[in-house]
Order: sequence, then C-alpha cells, then structure tokens
Amino acid sequence: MRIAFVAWNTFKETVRNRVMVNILIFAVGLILLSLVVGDWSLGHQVKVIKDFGLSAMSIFGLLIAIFIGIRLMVQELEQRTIYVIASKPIYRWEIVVGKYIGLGVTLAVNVVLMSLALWGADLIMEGKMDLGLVPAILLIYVEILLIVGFALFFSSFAAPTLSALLTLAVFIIGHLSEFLREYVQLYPDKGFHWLLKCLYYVVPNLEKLNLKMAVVEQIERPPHAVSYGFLYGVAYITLLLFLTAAVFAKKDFK
Amino acid sequence: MKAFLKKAVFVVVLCCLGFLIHRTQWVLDKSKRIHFVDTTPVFLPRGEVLKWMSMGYRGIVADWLWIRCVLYYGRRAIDEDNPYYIYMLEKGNPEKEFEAIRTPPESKETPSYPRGDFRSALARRSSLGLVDYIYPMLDRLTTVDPHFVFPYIFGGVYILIGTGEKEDAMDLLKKGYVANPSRWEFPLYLGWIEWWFFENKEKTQEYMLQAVSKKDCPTYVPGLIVSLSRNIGRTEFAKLYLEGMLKSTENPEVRKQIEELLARISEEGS
Repeated sequence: MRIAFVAWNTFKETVRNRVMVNILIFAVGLILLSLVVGDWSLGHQVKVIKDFGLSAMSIFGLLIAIFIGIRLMVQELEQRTIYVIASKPIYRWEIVVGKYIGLGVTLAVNVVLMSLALWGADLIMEGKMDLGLVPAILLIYVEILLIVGFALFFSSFAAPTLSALLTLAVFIIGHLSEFLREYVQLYPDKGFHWLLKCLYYVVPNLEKLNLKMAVVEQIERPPHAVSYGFLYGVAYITLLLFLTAAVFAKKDFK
Repeated sequence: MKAFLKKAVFVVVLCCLGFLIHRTQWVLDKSKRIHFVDTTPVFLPRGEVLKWMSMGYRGIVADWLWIRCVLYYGRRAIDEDNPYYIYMLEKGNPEKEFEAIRTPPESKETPSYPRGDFRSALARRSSLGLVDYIYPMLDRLTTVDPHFVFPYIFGGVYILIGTGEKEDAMDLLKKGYVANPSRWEFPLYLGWIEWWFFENKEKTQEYMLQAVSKKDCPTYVPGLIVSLSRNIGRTEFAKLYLEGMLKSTENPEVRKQIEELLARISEEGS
C-alpha cells in the first residue's frame, strides 16, 4: 500500500515533467515523419516506418529513462522533500521500489503512445496494424526499465552528471557485449582480456533484448527469445533494485 | 492616435521584413546550383565496423544506407532521361528553365553491347560512377543487415544491367544466398547471370534446380529448367538432382513442386 502511494505520486510527478512531454512529442513526430522518409526507399516504406518507429521508441525511451531516472532521487534530496517522506512510517527500500514503479508506469504510457503512433503510420501505409511488432516493443520496454534501474542505482551514490555518463556507458557496452565476447574468443592471449570478460558478465547484454530487426524482417527467432529475454531483464532489474535499496538504506541525508 | 501610429509602424516594419526575406531568398535561389559530381567516394567505414557502431539500431542504419543508394542511383541513372533534369540543373535561371520544359528530351536508344567481356567493359565505361559507389555501399548495407533482400537484387540485377559488372553482382548475390539460404531469388538470379554473362549453362541448370526447391518459387522456373535441360542434354542430371532433393525435403508444397517437375522431365526423356 505504501509502495503504491509512492508510485502513484511519482507517476503524477513524472507525467507532468515538461522534458518528458517534449521528448514524447518529438518521438511521435519522428515516427510520423517516417511516412515521408519511407517514400524515398524504392518500395520499402513499410520496413522504413517500422525500423524508424521501433528505433525512435528505444532511443527516446532511453533519453527519458536517463533524464528522469536520474532526477528521480536527486530532486527529492535537493528539494529536501525526502525528509518529509523518510519521516513517515515507511522503509527506505519501499521508497526506492515505489519511485521505480511510478516511473515504470509513466514509461509504459509513453511506450503505448509511441506504439499507437507507429501502428497508425503502419495502418496508413499497409492498411493493417502489424501486431508482430509486439515482442520487440515488449523487450524495448524491458530494456528501458533496465536502463532506469541503472540510472536509479548510479544516482543513489554519484552526482547526476556522472550518473548520466555511467548509465550511457552501460547502454553502449550493453549493446557491444557480443563484440566483446567475440574479441575475447578471437584473442584469448591478450593481457587485458580479463577486463573485457569481466565487463561482459557484469554489464547486461542488451542485444538479448533487441528483436527490432527480427520482427521487421520476420526472421526466425531462437526459441524462447522473448520469454527468456523478459526473464533476463527482470532478473537484472530486481538485482539493481536490491543494490539501490541497500545503498539508499545506508545513505545519510544530512 | 498614438496607439494607431504604433500599430501602423508595426505593420510597416512587418511588411519591410517580409519583403527583405522574400528578396534575399530570391537572390539565394538564383545563385543555387545542383552539382552532379562524377565520382563520389564512399567515406564510410567497412560494413563490420558500421555494424559495430550501429549498437542495436542496425535496421535503421541499413535503411539510411539504402536510401543513400537509391538517391544516388536516381540522380545518376534516371535523371538524365528525365525531362526535368535540365530544369533542375538550370533552376533559378528562368529563361533556360522554360526552354528546358518546352523542349522535349531527345529519345535515347538503349545501347546494344556485344556479348561477353567486351560488353562489360563498354558498360562499365558508361556506368556514370555507379560501380564505384553503389557496390561498396551495398556491400556495407548487406553486412549491417544481411536479411534485407532487395538490395542484393538491386545490385545483382538492376545495377548489373546498367553496368555489366558481373563479378561484383555475382559476389553480392552469393553473399545474399549464404545469409538467406531459403530464398528462391538468389539461386534464380545467380543462374541467370551464369547463363547470360558467363554463358555457363550447366551452372545455370544447377542454380535453377536449387531455386525450384525453395518455397514460393515462381511457377515459370520449372518450365525454364525443362527446356534448358533438354537444350544442353542434361535431363538425366536434372532427374538425379531432383530425386536427391525430394529425399531431403519435408515441406509438402515444395515436394509437390519437385514431383511435378520430375514428372515433366521424365515425360521429356521418354
């Protein structure tokens, strides 16, 4: 109940955030702009629209996750509203989880709106809404939630700018994990390969949550790609929330 | 009275600014020229690096490369036959613009090159830079997104027809066939190149037989195989090949397709 209360307040607060609304409007505009860009592709409008739409959803979701995710806790500390919340009969971990769920719901609303824009563009072009995009959209949402988890975790002990940089680094390394592994396999004798190996196992492999190309080109996916990808993401998020709650519990608000 | 004066000054200033904007735009439009450079090198990293740099957004990077190819091809190969080509070149020069629109373009005959390598050399010379730009771009594109089928066909068939660059076309189609072994387009077009450019009918027959064992293969392909096999006297080979294929195929549609072709070839033989 207490978690739901914090989540509801966080949702109300984040939905009113102007940065998020601007990013959302820009993303929807970009998805609709793909109708024009697709026209230059010599008969591949539908592919371009879907690629554009899914990429916009992922990129702008990531921007919202970084900008809002980091401000989520920092704002409470800067405005000293955390004293009001912390003085209530509520555990600190409940504050962390509540905040996370609140932002998660806001992001879900964003993803749904962007999906509707994409399906609208698809309906104009193809005459039908391609529901085959759902697995990719679901995993994009999990990826965004994972990035929010990292943003929240870093912002629990680092300054906002550093937190943003670290979150961005996680995103980049996460998408390059496959290459890290290939590199280690190709050159096992290199002195620093332990570092790469370490990075590969610590940072989540975000390519496991990337089905954009597979759904657009209807490529055969490995079995359980969606369910295992979902589980993988949820497990990482839970771990991050545990860590964030642990750091937050020890934090001195003075 | 003072308020009216203020409004009037405001309207006059707005009109002056509007006129200034219109005038400067007109001058800028007049001095604008579209440049058609003969060769544009591809200032892009290799496909593997692009794939690495795209960080999970491979689809959209591939689309961007594809649109670049299409626009480049459009400017080089299509615009010169387009009546508005001269108009575009002369845009901003009203006299020449209207002259270009009034004068119908000269009809160009399709060049008929002699067969073989000589034809390829001639075609490459008049390729308007397509070979040096499009093939490297398509190679990058297909490395970034190996399942985007149309660019392979664009390079392997359309650009080949305009340039005669058979080796590059062959490489591109073979690359596509490796990445998409279940598609009928690749063996069919590879067979066509072998027949038309390399004049290797045996290899053509082999590729066509591979094409017929793929799902959704067009219905005209079996007819081509029957007549080709008869012409080169390799009906027995075709029969053996198809029988082998039948043993390893489970898809009922494809099996039916192969069985019908086998029956037609057997009829020819008897």
